[in-house]
Amino acid sequence: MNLSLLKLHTKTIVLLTLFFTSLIMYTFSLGALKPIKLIDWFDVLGEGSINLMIMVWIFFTMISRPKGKVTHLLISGLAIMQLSMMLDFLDEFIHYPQASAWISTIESLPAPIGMIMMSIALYYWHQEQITLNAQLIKKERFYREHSLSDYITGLNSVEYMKNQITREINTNTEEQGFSVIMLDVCKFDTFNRQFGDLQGNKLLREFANLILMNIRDTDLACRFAADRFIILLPHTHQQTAEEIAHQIQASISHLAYKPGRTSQAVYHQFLACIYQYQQGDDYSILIDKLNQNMLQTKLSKIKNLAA
Amino acid sequence: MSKLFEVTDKTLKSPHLAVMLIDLCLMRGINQHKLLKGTGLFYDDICKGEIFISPLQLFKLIENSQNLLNSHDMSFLLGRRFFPGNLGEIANALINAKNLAQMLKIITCFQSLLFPLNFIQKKQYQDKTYLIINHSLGEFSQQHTTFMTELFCSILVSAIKWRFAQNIPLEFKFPYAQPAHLAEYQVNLGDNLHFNQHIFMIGIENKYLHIQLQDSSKTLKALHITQCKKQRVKQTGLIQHILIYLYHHNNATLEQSANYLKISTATFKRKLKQHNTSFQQLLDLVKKQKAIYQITIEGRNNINVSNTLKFNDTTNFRRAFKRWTGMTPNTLRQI
Repeated sequence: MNLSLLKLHTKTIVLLTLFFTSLIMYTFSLGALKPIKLIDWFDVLGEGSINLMIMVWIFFTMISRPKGKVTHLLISGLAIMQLSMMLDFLDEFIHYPQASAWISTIESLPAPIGMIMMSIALYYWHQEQITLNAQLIKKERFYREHSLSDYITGLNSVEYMKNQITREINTNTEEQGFSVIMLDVCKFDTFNRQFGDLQGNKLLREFANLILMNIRDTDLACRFAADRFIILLPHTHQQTAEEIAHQIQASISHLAYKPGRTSQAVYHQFLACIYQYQQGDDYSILIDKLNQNMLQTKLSKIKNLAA
Repeated sequence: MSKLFEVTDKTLKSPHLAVMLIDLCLMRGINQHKLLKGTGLFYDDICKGEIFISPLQLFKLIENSQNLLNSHDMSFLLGRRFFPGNLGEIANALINAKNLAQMLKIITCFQSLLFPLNFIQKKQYQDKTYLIINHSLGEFSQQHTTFMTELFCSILVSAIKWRFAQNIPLEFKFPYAQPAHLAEYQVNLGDNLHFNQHIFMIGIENKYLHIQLQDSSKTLKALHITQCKKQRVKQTGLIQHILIYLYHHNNATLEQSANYLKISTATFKRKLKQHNTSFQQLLDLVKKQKAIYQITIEGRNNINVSNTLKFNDTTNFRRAFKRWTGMTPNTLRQI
């Protein structure tokens, strides 16, 4: 579990702890402890677990989100609900004298207030999610699966692409099929040897960003493996795909990447292969053809250099 | 006489591989303590260098990294970084080899320096050369086998790429089924890949073995090889040692093999169990690999193969082959 976000909420944690400890102390000062015989253990179990679960929710909210309006609303809403539940729970152990009976009367009041706050928080969260989705549009289609994401580039992995291409093949009914572009970085090994893997990884991330900038909203880019990327272009002819591939290649060749703090820029080239889906292809045939195509392109490039 | 080592022996000096693996994992945000959990290794000791680790510790580290990482490219990445690295003399000898044939010769002669956990046999038939690779300490799990196999391929391919700056086509045969992360294989190793082959073998056409490397030096190579020989304490993995013996004694019994190792049969059995194998499994492995090589590469018929493997008749051979691989020799010929 990654707890790095918890540090941001230190103040809130201290505040909540203080509040609930003083609440417990205050109720104990008002009333007297019930004799053991009178305690209803079923209620204790039920209400105790509700309290515990709300605490777990607060914890997960804290470790999943940085500070902000939505986070504040979520945590405050949960905390106010917790107030009601806590009073209810303490009731089981404490008998209040007549003068302090008001406390049992108002105990259920905070809960709906907390819930209203949570609902407002969820509404804002929904809006937040829409903006986030817009940022993810070229990285995913119809389906979200965080376990298929690639750590280095932030794109989805080849498994995700496999599912999407298979889906595209299965639903493809129109004559205008789809195209796939495969991109390979030239001399990436040399760069890695010279500048190290950390810089290599950073560069891959920059490539991923550039690719995303150069494709359309309907397209999907994933990392294939190592220094190879793959892009799915639905409803696209070979010709259009070639055009887009050229645009990506042009934009990559202009990227003046500066490893570390040097001002010396390193330039890179992409090799691109395009394949348009033909009736009868399945995923592995399609990938095989792209890979063979890529191998040929590489060979001819080496021959061109030698000549 | 070479020194034998087992999985629990702390024999891997300056564990280059372990250090690189740890380095790569930390770079991906893996927690140091989780990564080293159960390995008996400490980060500070590793940084100081000069420590010896056992193969078992390395295997545990590999297992941890595989479980913690959500990707399958670690073995390939390691392979790309492995060579020339700080392998010392042997790397210098390799760099000064005049062609691939010499490189392969150095790799097979000094395999204990380069690949202490692999056992490489070189064979030649007609115009192709084949490397048959086994694990010098046996196999521990499918995960472990796959990782070590991928690592070996990746090291070989990246060394060739680095020295030759051109694509030299290699043919790969893997003993296991096609993995889910096939894309890594395709990008790193090319498209001549065959799975479910019951053998780990790499083939290369002889014409590529003699492409001259201009920047090599015969004198430097000789110098570094002499130095390698001087500092080399030849270490052989226990399983490798037994496999070599069985290779030359097809009908050896458990007792004879224990005698050869100068240990009692009980100790022999215990040691094999510690390496996750048994005598029968090793014997089967040797015969199976011989049979597969003779059938698929040399194109021999059943009578011929069963004679060389000293079976009484072909029916027995066919039955044994089916037991080893799950298919008959004829099915193998057809795929």
